[in-house]
Amino acid sequence: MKLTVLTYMAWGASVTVMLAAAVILLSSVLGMGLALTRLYAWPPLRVLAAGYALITRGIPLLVLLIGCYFSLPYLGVTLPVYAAAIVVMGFYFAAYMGEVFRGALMAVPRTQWDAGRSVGFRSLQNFGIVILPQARRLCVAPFLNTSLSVVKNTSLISAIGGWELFSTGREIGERTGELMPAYLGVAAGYYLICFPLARLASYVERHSHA
Amino acid sequence: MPEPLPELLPESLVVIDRVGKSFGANRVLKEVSLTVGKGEVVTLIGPSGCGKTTLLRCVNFLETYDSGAISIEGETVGIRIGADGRRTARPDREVAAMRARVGMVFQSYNLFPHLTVLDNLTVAPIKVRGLPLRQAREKAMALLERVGLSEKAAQYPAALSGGQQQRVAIARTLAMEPHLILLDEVTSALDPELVGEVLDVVQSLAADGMTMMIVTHEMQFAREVSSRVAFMAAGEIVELASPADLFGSPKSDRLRSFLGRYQAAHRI
Repeated sequence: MKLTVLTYMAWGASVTVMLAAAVILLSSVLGMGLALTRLYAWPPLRVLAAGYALITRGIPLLVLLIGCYFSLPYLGVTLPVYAAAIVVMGFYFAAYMGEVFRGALMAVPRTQWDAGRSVGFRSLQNFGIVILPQARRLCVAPFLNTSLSVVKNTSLISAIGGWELFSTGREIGERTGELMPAYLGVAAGYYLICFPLARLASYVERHSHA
Repeated sequence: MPEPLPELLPESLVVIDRVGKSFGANRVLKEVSLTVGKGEVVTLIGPSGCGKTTLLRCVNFLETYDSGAISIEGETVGIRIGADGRRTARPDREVAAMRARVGMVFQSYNLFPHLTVLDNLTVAPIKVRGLPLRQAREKAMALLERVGLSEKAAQYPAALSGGQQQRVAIARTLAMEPHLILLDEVTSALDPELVGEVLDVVQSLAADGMTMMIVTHEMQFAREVSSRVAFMAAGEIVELASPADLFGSPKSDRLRSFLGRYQAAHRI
């Protein structure tokens, strides 16, 4: 009995991990685009990107998830629940990832641009060889922090009918009546997923030179 | 008062011709003209905010300029000037190619902190000049030897003292085999006891005939290393002369009072 409960939760946890991985990937790609747009693009586009970040971060994720998933069919778009969840969360966390990358790029001193230019790098070379590697080191900690948020917020996907770690806890709790152990189990599950990420963050921070 | 057009000697490496620049309403450079011959060391001195660093940064186009023209080896810097006098920006590629021939050493060293000392010296020769890795490394090691830091090749810049970092920065510049080196207050961030080791390296470059433009507050050094010294104040070159003349018999009141203040500050 115990084992089947644990196996069931492990299944849920693996779904959570895959959802989180997909969301982190999508939001990172979009976030990088947002950060580059805000910093280096044609000024009107910068304003647009800044507006996107501002508006998105001012709306609760739950509202976006439910709002998008249940109103998209009226616009003729029907997405499977997981696809909808990944897209909505990807665009939502892109705003946060964008801030993470923008902050890291801005934290590289302007004098590093000068140094790269003065040895003859072209703008893109300079960005790729001098700026980006330094920004990458600076963004590891905030990136992993945001990733932890992503992992935990995948639990909201249960609100639109997706099945993941949180759902298993609710099901087990309802079937057995053992609510507290069930939710403690869920909490432990999230912790076990997040713990390696937090450890990774401190490891990378210790082993960087910049 | 606008300077007369500088004589365009065939061996002039840098020709600065009536260059003007403003930051908003602040005119930081007012029709500055200056030529630097091949193998010459020209030092810019003057009070803070007189425009000497800005002028230096215009020479390799880290700063744009609004009027006039700067040429290096006969090629205008950063802009092209058409027959009708129209100014168009040069593409990134051309500006980068110009900078590859002009070294710059900064007050705050600006080494690449994420690369080892050796990689700081090899990255540009490999990526910009297409030098093979082996050759770039050999050259870099020879240059580190020259500045007395070959044992630091595998270290990261953060592990080095300021003086050592600045010597690496000079070696990084030399690795590109520049025709001209710009030095912007290269000892200003250093503890006094580390100044000498950096100035010695600069001195040795001058002895080898490297063309340099130097912005400095070290008057004794300017006196020893320079072919000519330019005294700038309020965005203009007020006096330009050999170090013996400029320091020995200053003509303008502004230079006399500048040198007087300097001497007062350095009297122990």
